[in-house]
Amino acid sequence: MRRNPLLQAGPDCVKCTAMAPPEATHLGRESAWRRKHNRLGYLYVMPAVIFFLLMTAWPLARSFYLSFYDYYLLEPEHTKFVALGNYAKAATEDVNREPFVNTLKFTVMFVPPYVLVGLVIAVMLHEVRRGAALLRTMIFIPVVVSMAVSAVLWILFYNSTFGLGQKAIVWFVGENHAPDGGVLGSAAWAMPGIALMCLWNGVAINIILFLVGLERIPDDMYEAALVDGAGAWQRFRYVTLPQLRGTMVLVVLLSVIESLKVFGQPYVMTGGGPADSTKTYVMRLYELAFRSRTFEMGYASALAYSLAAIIFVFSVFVWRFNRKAE
Amino acid sequence: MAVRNPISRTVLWLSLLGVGILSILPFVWVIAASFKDEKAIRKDGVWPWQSYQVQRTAPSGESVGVTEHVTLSNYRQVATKVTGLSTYYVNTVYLAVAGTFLSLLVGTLAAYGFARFRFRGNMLLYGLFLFTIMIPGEVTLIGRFELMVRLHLLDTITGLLAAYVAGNLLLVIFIMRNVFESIPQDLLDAAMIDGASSWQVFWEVMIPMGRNGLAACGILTFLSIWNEFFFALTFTFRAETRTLPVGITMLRSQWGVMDVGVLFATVLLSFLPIVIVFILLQRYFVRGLSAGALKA
Amino acid sequence: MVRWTCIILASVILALSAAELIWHRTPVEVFRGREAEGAKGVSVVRVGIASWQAGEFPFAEAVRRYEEAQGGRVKVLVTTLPEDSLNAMLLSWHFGRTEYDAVLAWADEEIFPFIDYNRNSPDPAARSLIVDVREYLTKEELASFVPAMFGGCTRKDEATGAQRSYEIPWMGEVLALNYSREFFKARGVKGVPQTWEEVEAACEKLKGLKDESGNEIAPIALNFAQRGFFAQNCYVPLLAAYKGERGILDSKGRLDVSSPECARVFETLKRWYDRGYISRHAFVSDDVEKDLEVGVTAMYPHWQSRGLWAVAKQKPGAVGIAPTPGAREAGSLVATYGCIIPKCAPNPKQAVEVCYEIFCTDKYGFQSGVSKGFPDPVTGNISKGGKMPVLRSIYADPELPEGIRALAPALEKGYCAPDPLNWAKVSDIIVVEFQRYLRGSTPTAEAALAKVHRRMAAEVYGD
Repeated sequence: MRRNPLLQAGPDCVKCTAMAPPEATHLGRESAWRRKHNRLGYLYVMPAVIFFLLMTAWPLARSFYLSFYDYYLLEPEHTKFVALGNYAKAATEDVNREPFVNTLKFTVMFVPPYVLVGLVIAVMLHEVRRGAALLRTMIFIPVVVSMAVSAVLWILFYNSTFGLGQKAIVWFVGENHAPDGGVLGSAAWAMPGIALMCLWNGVAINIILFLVGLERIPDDMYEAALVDGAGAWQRFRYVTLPQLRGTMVLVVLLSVIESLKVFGQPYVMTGGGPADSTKTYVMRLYELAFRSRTFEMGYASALAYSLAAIIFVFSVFVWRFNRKAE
Repeated sequence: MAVRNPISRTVLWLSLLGVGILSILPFVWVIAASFKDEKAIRKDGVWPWQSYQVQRTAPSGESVGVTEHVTLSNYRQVATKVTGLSTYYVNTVYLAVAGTFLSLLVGTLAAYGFARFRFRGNMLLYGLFLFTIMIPGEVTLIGRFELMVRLHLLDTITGLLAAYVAGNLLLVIFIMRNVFESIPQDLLDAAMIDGASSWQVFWEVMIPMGRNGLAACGILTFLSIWNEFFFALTFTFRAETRTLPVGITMLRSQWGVMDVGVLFATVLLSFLPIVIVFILLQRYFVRGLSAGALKA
Repeated sequence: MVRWTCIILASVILALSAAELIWHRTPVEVFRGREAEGAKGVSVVRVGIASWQAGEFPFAEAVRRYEEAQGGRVKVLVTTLPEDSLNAMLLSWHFGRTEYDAVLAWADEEIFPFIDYNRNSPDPAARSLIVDVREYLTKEELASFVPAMFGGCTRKDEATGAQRSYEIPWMGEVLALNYSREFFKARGVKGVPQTWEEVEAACEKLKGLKDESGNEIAPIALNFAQRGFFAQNCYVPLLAAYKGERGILDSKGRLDVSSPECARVFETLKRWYDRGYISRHAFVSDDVEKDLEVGVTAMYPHWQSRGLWAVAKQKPGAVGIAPTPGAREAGSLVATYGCIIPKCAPNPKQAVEVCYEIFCTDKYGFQSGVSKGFPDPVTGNISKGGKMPVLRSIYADPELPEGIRALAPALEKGYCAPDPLNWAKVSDIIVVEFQRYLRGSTPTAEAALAKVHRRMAAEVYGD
């Protein structure tokens, strides 16, 4: 900041304002100056706009357009307009039902622990002063390891012979209830197993979000509660929770969106098996668009836009609900 | 609002330590197992205190059973047989650094434009950008794939880079616009009178003032590119263009069925560097993430 | 300061990107090829192999010998394809670009998308992206192959009735019953089971066996994992044995899922599972694949090569390889790996010639390497091998591994996976419905198979 007159001297500022660009005094000239100046803005936003138009807007428009066509990338000569046919097919086809249900199951399994564990650990971490850096480092480490690497790690972790995760499960639920062929080999256990891995991998993000929320609660509110004779639980119930409301809504929203889009973890860990029990919505989309031999992109686009619509409706609903409750 | 009671403080501390140990346990386990022979692992001997038998060729030529506790053979095999790990690393680091830099540069410029210039269509464009943030990346995927095919960008690092910049750009614009709006107008006007052009103001006032916001955006973008899987999976095919997340899942099938000991060593090598960097820069990471989280 | 750093960084990134794009549009092979050609009139053949094949077969040695024999007039560049690149190849060949003159990487069900890719054209010649090798191979050359090796890639041209083959097989796999002689001896199982009933009896005897360090030994390892080998290793061999001469196809030429024998297959497998004969790794493909090698199972029906791998890892003579029960009457399932040559390659004729000479005959030691193994470049020990050679003449070699000689008769009656194009989808449906039946969510085998039938009709064949 070489030339920052504001920082030079206090009293001079009066002079600065007096000398300020012909703002209030000469309106006509000011607006001409302003207009010229403001046009510079186009230059600044141009690179971003180019990127946006080419890499985001065009693909979005294109796949919206394609979602109304029977379109195969490798057989473009066969393209056919089907209007809402793809959407109707997406909604009614039997093959889609299971991936959709699986995704919902995953959401139900994953989001509550994801949010609650994040909240509890954040509240605990917030209380600790000594050695906090060490604890935070340990707890946050998994978040920097990329999802795919963690997934490969957890495949090994769940191995039925030597996997530590498998052993922990056997120890918890007993030999008879544990999955015989490893967590990922059992239709009942595979999805919870994947959810657990996601929890381990990502919960630090929620902890951080909650910690930020906690930092913003003014200390005097707690002191006031203490004066009123509130216990630890009551302080948590009547001060912390209501104050965290905004953060909570944000965290729930982000978690639900994330879990509706889940793809990589089951793709790497189980490939959708066993018995299609971990095949998710996005995995179905991926198979259609990129793994079918003709690249069935029209139908896949319709699936993608349906997902976007679901997420949009959900976000709007949460937002409205939150405002009403406030 | 620290807990005052020493007993409950200790309990709290210990239980958090327990959580911490749980979260690093898989790593410790992988480190231990990566020093074991495949047969030993498959017969459930992962820890260094468990011994196992291997068949070795004696100098005389016959094979002899030897008892071992640990071995470096997995790492030797990674060095000689596992191809591509270094390429994946170079690609991922390049993409993460270049992608972060470009999204920050293009994004901040645009944020400056949106925050400080009242040109026609400002709000309209910005509103459009904001709306697009809400659309999940999976939707753009198909259109982008087709675009890549047409521009011959498919299966190139450049294509992937462009997709990543476009993907992270909007969030950077959103965060940085808020940061720039909060800088007092007087400061800029003053600089202007001094004869500074808007370009100079950008570099000498806006960038230094927005330092924290930039750091937060940088960390968010870096992590999101570092961890990105879906786009890398669909847009790249050759070993030379693969990134670490995709590469590691493909290595698993490099020889049909992979030697599990080598797999452990590979997994270890693929998380160790970033974990070490994280431990060293832990403070900045968390601060950046929380600042970013706040704004997002 | 910051400003200049940013500008420099941005230019570096731009320059790198530009360099990459230019590089991408002119592959290295083109440079190298031109250089060699321009210099001495040498023709270059670019061969793509799968990464797992690189260390498994003596490519470098055979190619070197071939080039020497040709006096340096032909140069063969062998490069490794990236993992999972099939769709990418489909895409680039569709646009008429190729970085390879021949590709050795895939098994026959994987090459079917190339053969049957253009559904708009009824003419099979126009449908495919790869050449019909029968147009290029001589009669004698064609006759030199074991006929079963062509089964997976041959289709009848509906219009002319002519047979068209789209790959030159260079290596085969036969389904075999791989078993542990050691464990058989420990529980007094005499001889190799000749029927699946005998397998069941052997399982009963082997149940509860433990090795010297107390690990439990599973009587039989079967792959029940999704995307594993259920249809290939479990369903097909049992069905073939039960149906005998009638073969595994139904009246429409699809895999049979409606005969009473099919239900018997499901019931048998469930019974074995319920009685605890089957390895507990059955549901995780990577794990069950290692069972025989590590020595925690007594029987593993799979390709002969899995057995031969285990032979290499275990004590000498511990692992035996035999035809699957019932193979004498019904034949055995065979899979081949073949060379495919894209239509967009500049000189298909030469590519076919080179592939046949180097990879199918034993003139340059390649087929010996395929079957008997070859010296490891580092240690000098003979290793690898264990695949079925493709030419009849090679089977006369008395030095072939025991397992390969034992399976040669089964190969004569070999058959391929039905409808290779849809095989992956069909086997996925079968294994999914089988798992549901096993878990009890489908009550009977008949109901499970009826569901398979319905899903096959709806999801695969669209009728």
